[in-house]
Amino acid sequence: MMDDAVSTDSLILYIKKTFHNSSDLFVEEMEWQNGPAVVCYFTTMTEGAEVNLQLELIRKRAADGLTDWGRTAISSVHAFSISVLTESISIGFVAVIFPESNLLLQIMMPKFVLRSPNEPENEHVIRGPHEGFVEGFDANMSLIRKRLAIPNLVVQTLRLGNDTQTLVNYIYIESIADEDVVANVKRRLESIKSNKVISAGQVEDYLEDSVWSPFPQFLNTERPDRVVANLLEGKIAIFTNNSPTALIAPVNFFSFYESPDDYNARVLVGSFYRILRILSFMTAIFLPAFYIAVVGFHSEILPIELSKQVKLGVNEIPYRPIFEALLLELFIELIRESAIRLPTPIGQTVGIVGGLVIGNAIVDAGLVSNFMVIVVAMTAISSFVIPSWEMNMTIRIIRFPFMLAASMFGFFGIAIGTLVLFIHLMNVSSLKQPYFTPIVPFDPAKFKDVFFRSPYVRLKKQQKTFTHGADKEGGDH
Amino acid sequence: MTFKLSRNQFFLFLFIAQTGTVFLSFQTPLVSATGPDAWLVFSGVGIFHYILLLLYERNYEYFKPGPFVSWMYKGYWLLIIVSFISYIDYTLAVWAFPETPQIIVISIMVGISLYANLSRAETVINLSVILLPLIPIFYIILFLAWPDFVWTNLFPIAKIDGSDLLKGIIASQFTFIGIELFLFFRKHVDSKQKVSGIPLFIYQMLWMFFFLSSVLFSLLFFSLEELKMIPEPIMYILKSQAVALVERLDLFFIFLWMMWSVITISLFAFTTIYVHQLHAKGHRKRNTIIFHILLVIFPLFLRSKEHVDMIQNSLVYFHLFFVIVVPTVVILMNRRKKK
Amino acid sequence: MKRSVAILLVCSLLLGGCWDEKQYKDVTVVSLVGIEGQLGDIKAQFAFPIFEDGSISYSTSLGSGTTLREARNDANHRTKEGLDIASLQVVLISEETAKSDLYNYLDMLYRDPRNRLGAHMAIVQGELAPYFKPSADVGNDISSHYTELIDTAIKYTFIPDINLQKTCSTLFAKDLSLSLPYIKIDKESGIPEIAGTALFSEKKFTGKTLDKKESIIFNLLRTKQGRYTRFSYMWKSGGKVSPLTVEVNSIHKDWDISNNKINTFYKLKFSVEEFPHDSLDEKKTVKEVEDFLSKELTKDFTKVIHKLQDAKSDAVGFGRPVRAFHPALWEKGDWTDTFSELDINVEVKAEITRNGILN
Repeated sequence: MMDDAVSTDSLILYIKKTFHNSSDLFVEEMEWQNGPAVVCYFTTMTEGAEVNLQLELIRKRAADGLTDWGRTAISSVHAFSISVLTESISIGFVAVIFPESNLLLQIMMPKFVLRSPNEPENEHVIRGPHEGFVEGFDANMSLIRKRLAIPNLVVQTLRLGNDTQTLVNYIYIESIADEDVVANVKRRLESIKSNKVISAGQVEDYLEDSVWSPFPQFLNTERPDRVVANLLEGKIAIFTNNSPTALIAPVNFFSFYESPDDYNARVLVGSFYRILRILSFMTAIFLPAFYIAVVGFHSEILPIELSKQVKLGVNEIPYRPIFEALLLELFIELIRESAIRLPTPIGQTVGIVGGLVIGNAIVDAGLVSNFMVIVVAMTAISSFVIPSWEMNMTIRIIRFPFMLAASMFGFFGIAIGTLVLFIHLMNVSSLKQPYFTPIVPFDPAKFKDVFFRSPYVRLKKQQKTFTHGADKEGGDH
Repeated sequence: MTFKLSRNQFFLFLFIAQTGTVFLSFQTPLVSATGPDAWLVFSGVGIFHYILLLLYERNYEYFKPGPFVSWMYKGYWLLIIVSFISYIDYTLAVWAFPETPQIIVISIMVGISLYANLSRAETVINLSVILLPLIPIFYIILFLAWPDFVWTNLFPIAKIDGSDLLKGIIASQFTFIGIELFLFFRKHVDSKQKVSGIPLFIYQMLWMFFFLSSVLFSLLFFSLEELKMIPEPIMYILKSQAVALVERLDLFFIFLWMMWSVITISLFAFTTIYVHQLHAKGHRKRNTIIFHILLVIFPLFLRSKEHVDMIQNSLVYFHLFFVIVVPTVVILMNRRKKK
Repeated sequence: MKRSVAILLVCSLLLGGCWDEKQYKDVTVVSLVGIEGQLGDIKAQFAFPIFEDGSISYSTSLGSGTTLREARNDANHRTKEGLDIASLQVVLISEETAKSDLYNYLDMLYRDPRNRLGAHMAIVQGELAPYFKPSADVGNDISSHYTELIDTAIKYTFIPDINLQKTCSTLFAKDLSLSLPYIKIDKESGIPEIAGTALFSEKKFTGKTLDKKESIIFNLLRTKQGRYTRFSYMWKSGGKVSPLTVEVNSIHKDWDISNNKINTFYKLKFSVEEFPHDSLDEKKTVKEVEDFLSKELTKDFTKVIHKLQDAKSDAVGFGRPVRAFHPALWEKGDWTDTFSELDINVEVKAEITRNGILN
């Protein structure tokens, strides 16, 4: 369709029509040394003054008679085609069309607004770098490359979603990462058939082995140092272009309990807090269930001095303990949910009003016993200890089934629930790699790292299979 | 269903299958029959256990059961599981759930086994790992009873007559149940890891330590006449221990024991289905579900303690048949075939 | 998965409570039980706290019946919530009741899986009622009065440390007789106090008791010391008189059992707590005190053993090594009879190892 007969005017009209006369589209004819040229770009994505400078530079190169005059660090020359044209303009490139010679000069100089790489709100550390990812892959990648100056760090890019054209990048270290896992990630990313790929969470859903499991199989982080540490362990990080979140896989359950702080703190201190976090897993899941079981079934386990206090607390409560617990738990969830949405100063006020005032009044009113308030508050605090937000949410959810089981069968329910949880954790896999790894399959060398932060970092590969001694996914049936 | 076991996994599997339900119940009949000699009798029986293991280890390669023998074993394991389930249910009813309908408790426990058995093979094999941190705690708390032990209860020795000795040996056979799994899973152990010799001896010692100490604890803690009235002596020892934080440790441990037993049941169910799939091709999921439905239904017929006891008593003879007679026949036949 | 969770949720809301649920607010925690009467006509008293308007008060309830369980159910008719004896602290048994086979009364307490086995046991003098409502003021919580009374007495070696479990265990043992704390009400003050040790023979209370000092010696005979074991004597030597209080640091026993005789040898190590005469830095004085103590203690120990033999109560446990290692002596006949006629020699050797606060 593009031949000499077509005038530059009709070309301009054509481009305008393609972009529906969008008012931020710049399409103008300009003089080039051997004929007219059409410059087009989105003024909202490209700086006009910069365009002029670049065009001057290229014009000079052409005038100097260089054969490759169009090829510079940020520009390239292609044969003209409509699809290249629309794509380049959409992404924010400048396209210069030479109808005479049927060429298209592409200048890559989009300007996007990017946040500065501030520390992510939900992953604060005390010591250590305070950088975080932003909403652009190039900036994020530069944060990673800055820390890993090695040629083995590989980035692979896919474009997903017909409507959104989202760039999905996965990065890994060639020499360390398991090639099967890399191939697996590639296969799964390619099989995503969706027109809209917007968020990291969406990609996570597509990649997960079992979507219905309450346990996250990808570690979400916005911290470059965390990504780098994981890459060095042979894991793969996945970025969606417009999200600051990196998805890391394959991970195991205990990865969610490790914080970069551990490795920045002293050995003993780091180990202590790691053990504390693992214990908090126990209290966060079992404490309310245990209390409900004791009050509802096994009151005889209380020593007599304590039992009088507990009895005094629960004696006048009209509801069953499970109601009390659900009431308070939902109440705490409400406070938490509302505090997230509100600006910080108001959020704090809500916390204080909700926590202190209502908490006190609810006991005075005789709806809930004071022991239940202690139990629920302790549970909430222990669940917030977990360094990973998704795991935090998971823990908050799975204690409800335990509470129900305890209210129906007492300790029996808790024991059964524990078995179910344990079996489930053994079944879950992250990119086909075992999820519960240093424990099952048992790996004594790594087992101590669950509880202790060793004095120096050794690079370890992720456990590969469920089956003892097999090389491939032998245990899967 | 292909899987490989490490040496440790194999021995853990065997240990949990052998201890499970039994460790709570076998002391009373043993001590009732043999009196203060129980610990001597049991030590002797332990040697027999070791001999059996050695023979198994030497001949396991020849143990290739055909479909008929497999069906016999499957029936035997079904009987074991059913008797275990009814015993657990009875004990739980006494200790914690007198009012809850039997079928609910049983279905919940069998449900766990079903869930585990529908997962990948490694899940069942590794299920026992959850008990590893709990068993030492259990032992430490039993040792809290140390100051109350009466050491003279172990004497006088060698006062026992022949028929009581036989009764004692029969009673102690309960601790052997599950040893036949050695023959079925030994070939799955990683061939790079040595089993015979020291590792097998260590396993025997662990087994011996576990059961012998439970016999000793019961003997030392209770007077003979009293022990005859107490069906679960270990639980009573725990019950009488007071720890500063909580009273009634037995309540925790009855549920620990329940978990332990449920895992034992899952292991036996796993073995049954595994052996079934050796000859039946496919339909693993369907067969697993059918088998577990049977496991819920059968114990319901054993409503009273008498039935449970009857099954338990007959179990020993089945056990001797399947642990000694059948393997001997199968091994000898296969040896001859090979020649 | 989600659906089943939802179903469970709905179920649990609908059910008023599951089969075996026992809401803590619906039970009354009995901490003290008293048993009197005879088999077939048991009267049982229960003491328990009542919770009302955020404060605790204490109450008792009386029930009677053929068995203890029936007596409890009878008492239930007079209380607001069901009586739960799962966290029992103290069991008091009246003298007269204990004179028949004790286990008949304890079976329900002992073999109920819900029950606690750590409860203290005591025999009380006379009727039970005044022990539940003593005329003197001993605080509201009568059960904690007995718990602390017994705990303290155990600490000072006044009484054997024995709970429900050990009581029943001992009742079934053929080689050991039971001994329980003995409590009486002081006539002047009206306060229930530890009076000594009640001696049993073959599951029955003999009616014979040891007083406080004898109880201490009895516990030393068993080598079961509490935290403190103290003796006081008036020391006399060559015209010098001085009060003497010593504390037992350690005790070592050595029993030599032959077919018709038991020679016992006890070696006690003391520290001197009170001795105004002083001059313990002289070897001679120390020797004199040691000799004095050895003589006095041998006399007292022998007296206690005679008392035990009179009561046909082998509460010390001579029967244990005899049953285990001396079949000839054991099989002479019923052990309690053999014991009461056995020739038992006692020799005590005192040694002063520390001077305590003196010197």
